[in-house]
Amino acid sequence: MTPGWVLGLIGMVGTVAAQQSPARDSEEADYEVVVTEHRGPPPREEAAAAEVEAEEAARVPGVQGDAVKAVQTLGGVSRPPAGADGVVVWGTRAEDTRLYVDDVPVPRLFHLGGSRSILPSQAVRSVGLVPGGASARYGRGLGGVVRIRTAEPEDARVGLWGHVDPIDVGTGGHYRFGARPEDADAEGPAGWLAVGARRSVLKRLFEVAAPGGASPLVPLPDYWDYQLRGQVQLTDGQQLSVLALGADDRVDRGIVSLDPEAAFTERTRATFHRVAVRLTRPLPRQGQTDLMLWGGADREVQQLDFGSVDARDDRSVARAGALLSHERRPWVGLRVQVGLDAEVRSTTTLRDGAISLPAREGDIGVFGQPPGNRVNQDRWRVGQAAVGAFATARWTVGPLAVEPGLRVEPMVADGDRVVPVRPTEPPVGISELDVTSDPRLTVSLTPEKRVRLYASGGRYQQPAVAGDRSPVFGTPRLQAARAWHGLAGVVAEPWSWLSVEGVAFWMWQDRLAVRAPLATPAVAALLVAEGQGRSRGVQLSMDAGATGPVQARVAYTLLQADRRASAAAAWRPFDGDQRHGLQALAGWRPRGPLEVGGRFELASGLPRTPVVGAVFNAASQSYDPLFGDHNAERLPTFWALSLQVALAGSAAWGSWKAALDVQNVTDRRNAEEVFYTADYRQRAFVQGLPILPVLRLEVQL
Amino acid sequence: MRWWLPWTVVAGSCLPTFDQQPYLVSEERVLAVRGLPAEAMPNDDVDYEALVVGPDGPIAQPVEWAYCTEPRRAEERTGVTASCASGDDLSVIEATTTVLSDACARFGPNPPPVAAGEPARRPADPDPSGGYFLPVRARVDEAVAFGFQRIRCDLPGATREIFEAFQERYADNRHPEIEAVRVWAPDGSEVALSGAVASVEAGQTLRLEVVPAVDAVEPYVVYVPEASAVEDRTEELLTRWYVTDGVLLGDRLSLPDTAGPVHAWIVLTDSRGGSAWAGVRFDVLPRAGGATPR
Repeated sequence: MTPGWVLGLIGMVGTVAAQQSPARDSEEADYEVVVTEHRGPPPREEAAAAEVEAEEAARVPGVQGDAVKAVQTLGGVSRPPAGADGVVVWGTRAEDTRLYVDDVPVPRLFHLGGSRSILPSQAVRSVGLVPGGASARYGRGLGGVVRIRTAEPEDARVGLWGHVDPIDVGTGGHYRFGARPEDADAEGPAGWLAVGARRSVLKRLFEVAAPGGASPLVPLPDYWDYQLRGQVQLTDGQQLSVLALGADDRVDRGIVSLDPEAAFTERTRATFHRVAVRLTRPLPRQGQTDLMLWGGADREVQQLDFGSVDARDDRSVARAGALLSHERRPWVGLRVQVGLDAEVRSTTTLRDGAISLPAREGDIGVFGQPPGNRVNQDRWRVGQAAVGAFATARWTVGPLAVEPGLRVEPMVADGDRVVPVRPTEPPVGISELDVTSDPRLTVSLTPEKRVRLYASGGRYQQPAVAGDRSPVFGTPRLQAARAWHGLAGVVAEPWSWLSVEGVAFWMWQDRLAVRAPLATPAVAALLVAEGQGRSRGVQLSMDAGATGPVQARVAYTLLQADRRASAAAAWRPFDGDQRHGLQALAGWRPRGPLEVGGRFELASGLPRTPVVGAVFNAASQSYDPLFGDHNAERLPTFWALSLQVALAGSAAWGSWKAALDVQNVTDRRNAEEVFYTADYRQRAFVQGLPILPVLRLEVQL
Repeated sequence: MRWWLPWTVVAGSCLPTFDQQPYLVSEERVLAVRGLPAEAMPNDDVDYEALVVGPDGPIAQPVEWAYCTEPRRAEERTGVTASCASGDDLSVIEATTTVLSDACARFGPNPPPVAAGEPARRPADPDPSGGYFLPVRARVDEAVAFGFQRIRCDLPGATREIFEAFQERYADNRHPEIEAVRVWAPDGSEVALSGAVASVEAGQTLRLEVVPAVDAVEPYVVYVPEASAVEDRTEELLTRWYVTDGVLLGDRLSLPDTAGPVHAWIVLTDSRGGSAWAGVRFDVLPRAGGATPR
């Protein structure tokens, strides 16, 4: 047997494989040499990246046909608590995960409450995750990277699609214009335009089915989103792409109580829009130049009424950016990528209300606890600009591939106030420049064609968010947080239908923005960049039968993530520390219209700080809790089984698919939070979603 | 960024239900604490008093008083800082004492003292009524409660015009007064109270009513630094009933089926930290059908 690395050496661009030609009728065997891609574990841009095609992702039971939600089933991603909409990867905060749709940064992947993603599956080509060790192309984030690639529509000149289920309805279509690629003699530009839109219906269904009967405790999603994508083939192989997408969410929720001090309402409205134009120019020898310009606006308003204390946070963000990348292969075995990744944003925030809000990682509290009676208000503007220059070079020599990278990024922050407003003093602004320089390195070794070893590491920096730069609620001068990633793994394909992978990872974070340790910190210094974090663990995954009728995918992550307020403080578990996480998926697709799938998920309970007593507050006429050690206990282990049965068919007019997705088929009442009595002497668990069947119908014309 | 992450779990979730009776006085408790006057300046004299009760009625036992000496951290949602609630960082005082001379620097808008060379420190944040409070602990045996003495401080950073407007328009808080407590029988008739004692039949559901004095709700002004203005506000009152037996739902008290005394207290608080209280004793008599005496 020829060693795989020899084959890799011969090919540089692939492996030489012998293949029988089926083209001849002659009985005499005839062979020709075909240069194909290496058959081992496919190469990746990042060492530990995972990617799921949308078609497969949408089949994952429990995601109700939402391909993007499949990211929650990938290894390293913590199970989101019911109603959460962030992506927590390898023990970093959801805010530290960078989210991209076709390289355009988006503020969130899911509609508020997490019931649906911001993109219908029809618009998605693949869902990718880089849990750590991202290349120099990526910056301004401490944690993982989620990459959504949008899909090119099918070949038909005109197509329409639609879907309906109890959560939302959606429709869209595409139009291909100009000459098709196979029309060699055709002239003029060719391309396509695809549009889509969705609207939630669950709230309206409730209003019709049970007017006034919906509990305010259960927030019903109320959203819409839209997508527009297009592409034009220009001369010389150049390609012009456009992308526009946006989403609008409204969520109201609360607790009704006869006691006004125990009642609670929260109203959230969040909107974002993005527009991007991209020009891709192919270069000789598989080179390519990409230029993308994008812009957008975000707005989020949250209003909270908690008895005698209100809080309002109104944030408007204008964002724009450019991505220029140039890739060349100057010599055989060497691929070089250089580029610029620039982003500017202007954020105006109006915050009025309790100073304990918004809650931060590490804050100690219990579910339902009022935010305290201290209030303040501020309106501040922060301008931020960053231009990341990145360069990577992938050098392949035989079985060894080395990819060093460097990202140098000047970051400018400009604020309108360095201290709280005082009418007797003129406002003093702030402007600061920070130049970061982050090295990255990935090394992979393919000693045998079905096995690859890899290791990756690097430094990552994330500028302080505008919301932390208030002179009243935060600190205008905050250094960028830093993280170091290190990971090493092995991926093997012992058979063509089986891939197994194991990776050990380690992350260190410092300069995290945390609460100041003193009750009376310096003026305009409620936060300090002194926090530290560490995550380490192993992740094992198995993917079987990718092309057969039976498929299985298992991902298990063992993780320990800790935080401390400063180098002198004691470590304690990270609020999102999920020690064990298991996702097991199996699907059966026999020939015919039937598809059956199952998914089992198991996750350790999140850490919580126990209440060890209570004292009576005579002013509020309620008890205040006394807390024990920080995050010293955990919620019970979560597990759930979900099933999906789908029937698909086609007719002269198009195709259809009906899917019944049943989440939590055993109706297990998982604990999602701890709920205490008013005097904190008894407690019980807030239970998560019960059995949730969702019938979904999709048609494609 | 979500306001308050724990609330996200509410999505589609089910809250547990408890058979909790926070209004029930089943052990010795301190239900209310107040200083006289309701609002005082540093070094002013102040008298503290508390409503101490137990399952058998009011408790006339000496109260141990102490001031909290440390302010709360920004993220602490409780009334007092954790160390103070746990019994540390306290300064023992008598019932008749003075407001701490540095109360406005420790718990108010004045800059906290700093050592030479240190940057200026952040003063305390006000409550929604613009007030600042000195925490006071009242303790009787194992029963502990914290009250809050409203302190009158300056307006650092305000212009002279604002300062003068505030001084002219702001009136110190006064404790609300309870004019009367009324009890209504199921048939809508008023139950006669004789010296705050009423005789009622077991098993009845009574409606409890507290009548605040006419001037219990006071207007006041708040300084808003962001707007550099003085805003008009009006107090709101919060009432809370406590009983030693029976079931209380809002202002409806379902008396026990057994005969015996039942004590009830009303605690009235205003949004500037003032409070008042009153008590009623129900002598629960056996029903006409005959209930078992306790």
